[in-house]
Amino acid sequence: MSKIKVDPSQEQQAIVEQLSALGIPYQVEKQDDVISNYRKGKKNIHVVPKKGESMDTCATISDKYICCNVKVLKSVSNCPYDCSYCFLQNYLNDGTTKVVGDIKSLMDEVKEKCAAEPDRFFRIGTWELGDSLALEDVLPQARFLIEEFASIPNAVLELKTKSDCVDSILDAAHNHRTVVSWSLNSEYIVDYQEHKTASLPKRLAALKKVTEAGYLVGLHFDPMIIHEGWKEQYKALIEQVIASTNPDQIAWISLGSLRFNPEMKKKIEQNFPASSITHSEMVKGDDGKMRYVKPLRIEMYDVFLSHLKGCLGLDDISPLSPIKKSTPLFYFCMERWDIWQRFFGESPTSIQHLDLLFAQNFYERFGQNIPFPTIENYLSK
Amino acid sequence: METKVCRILDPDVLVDAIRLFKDSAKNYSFQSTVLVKGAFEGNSYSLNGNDHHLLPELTIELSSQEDLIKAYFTHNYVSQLAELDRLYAISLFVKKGYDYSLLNMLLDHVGINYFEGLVEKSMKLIRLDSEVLKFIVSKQFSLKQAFSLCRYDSSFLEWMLNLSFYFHMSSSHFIELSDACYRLSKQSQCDDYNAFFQLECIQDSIASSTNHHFRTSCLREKLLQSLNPVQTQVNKQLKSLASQVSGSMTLNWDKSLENKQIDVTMRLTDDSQCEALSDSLKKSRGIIQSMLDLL
Ligand code: SF4
Repeated sequence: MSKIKVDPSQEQQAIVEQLSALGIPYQVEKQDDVISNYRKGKKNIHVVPKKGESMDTCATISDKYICCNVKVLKSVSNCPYDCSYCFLQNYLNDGTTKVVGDIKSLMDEVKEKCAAEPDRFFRIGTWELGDSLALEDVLPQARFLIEEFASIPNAVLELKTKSDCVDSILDAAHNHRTVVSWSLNSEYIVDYQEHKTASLPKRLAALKKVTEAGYLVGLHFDPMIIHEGWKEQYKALIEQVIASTNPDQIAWISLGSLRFNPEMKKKIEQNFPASSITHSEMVKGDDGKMRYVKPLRIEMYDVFLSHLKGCLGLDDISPLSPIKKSTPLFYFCMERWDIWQRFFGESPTSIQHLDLLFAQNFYERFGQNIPFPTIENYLSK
Repeated sequence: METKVCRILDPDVLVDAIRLFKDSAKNYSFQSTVLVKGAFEGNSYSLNGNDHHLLPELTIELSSQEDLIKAYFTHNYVSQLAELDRLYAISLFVKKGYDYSLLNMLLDHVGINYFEGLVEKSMKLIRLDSEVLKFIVSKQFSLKQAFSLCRYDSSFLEWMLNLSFYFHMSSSHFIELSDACYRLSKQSQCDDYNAFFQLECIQDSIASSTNHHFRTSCLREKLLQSLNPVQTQVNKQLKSLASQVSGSMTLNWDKSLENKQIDVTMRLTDDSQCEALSDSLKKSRGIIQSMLDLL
């Protein structure tokens, strides 16, 4: 059971009132100690005030590998789950699980930044330093965020999770301005590498619920990991996922392969000695991260995308092709341009170009009331 | 005040002496003075008394076991040693069954900077098989290098130590080859290290030369190939294609296979060769395309 502390300045916040309503004990205390052990930090939740700027660009942005230019809102830091490949184990200086209590201030910043560039369409995720919904049953932030985003003319919220904590958001007034996404993996990887997360059947049941609640959904098959029986396992995963949602509601689908920097490799081996994910044939890319050697990645994507296309009944999945109502936006997370070319025939020319493709796809498929995305508003920046 | 002088030649003796002092202090409530001098010679500690040289600094009042151990470290100038040697000195005591709190106190006393996991890692390190620990000290591993070995189980490290007799192993070789051997044993799902020793790449490297340096390079190369079968195979194909172009032109590529590009180097000694070179470049189109397809 986690220990919960609440900063004195946050006592009046709605998410803290929820703690009292649920009878969950907490202490009111200022955070003065840093928990350098990120695992220990997972058991210590602190409700904190918003500090400084909270909206930023995704930390993995790189010009060597094509990245999607998503914005991130730091509403949580650290996560109760314990995935072996989690980059937080090598990233957080303070492992304390922090939840921003003052979510209204977070939204003020979001609104201000979106209003400053009214012609741009922002995708904003709350998952950079944790899981968007994992703590929802204890410290609920999502419903408030969803209802606030519903009225922002040029933004969509992305909640990305490995949980099944969706019940509290099912009846929220989302106005199709929230994409509830799952990070999905084969049953084997969920069971052996994504410790403490919701099992695959539970995630799929939650995906079904949000689909039925009319939300747009996102599917992130990332990180794809080579393991015994991976081909069959990933094919089974695709079939189960497609059966759990409505393809017309899928906003985007991303694919990415396992990657980590050499420092993190050591951390993984130290924190998860039984895990074999670092033992495969990998190379260090131009961005300093280790990945499977390219022919292996190509084989993985090939098996995966062929099956996915078949299940969705799609021939052309290029995000650069004319947009079709029934075709989600497909993209690779942190992959090279030649991988894009191999699977999509073309690649975006820049990070901003991919950002534009997202805006165009969303505009055409779901959001006629978002600003019309023009090349000038994206590529000239 | 009664003064007791003890010449200690071996830390084991000191440990016994500690008990003796402790009892004496308890029974007769006198304060003790310890005379110790450590000389760090090569891999091992030998301690001897040198009254002349050390006498002025040898009078220490001891009221606890910790004081005595601290005195031992102070008089052996332990805090001036390399970090790993400091830890090694500590290990001589901690191995006798002392606990985390003593270790913590001693790490602090000898000035090893605290970081998260330091005590746990130190504990793990100093509990390694003494031959492995001696090897680590004798090869002058840095503390960081030594700690990086803590992720392996002790049977693997003992196996690596045995392997090291056949090769030339500096600390960085040992780190690199441990990583490679460990990964290969995991990749080949071979937990029986005796069987692993019989692997072709290890046996071939041992048989490759009587020179240990040469054997080591050979082993590195072979382990790399075994660990990276896809890269090895594709690079072989690329090399064979590249060898088919004319001699005045060389084709290079990124051996990691990440970058899809071919770099062409042409050698010209006279501008009259331009035409011939451009012809051979054109003729190599098919080869270049085949190479690009592989990347
Ligand atoms: S769910 Fe995400 S943030 Fe949480 S441990 Fe797993 S990878 Fe890390």
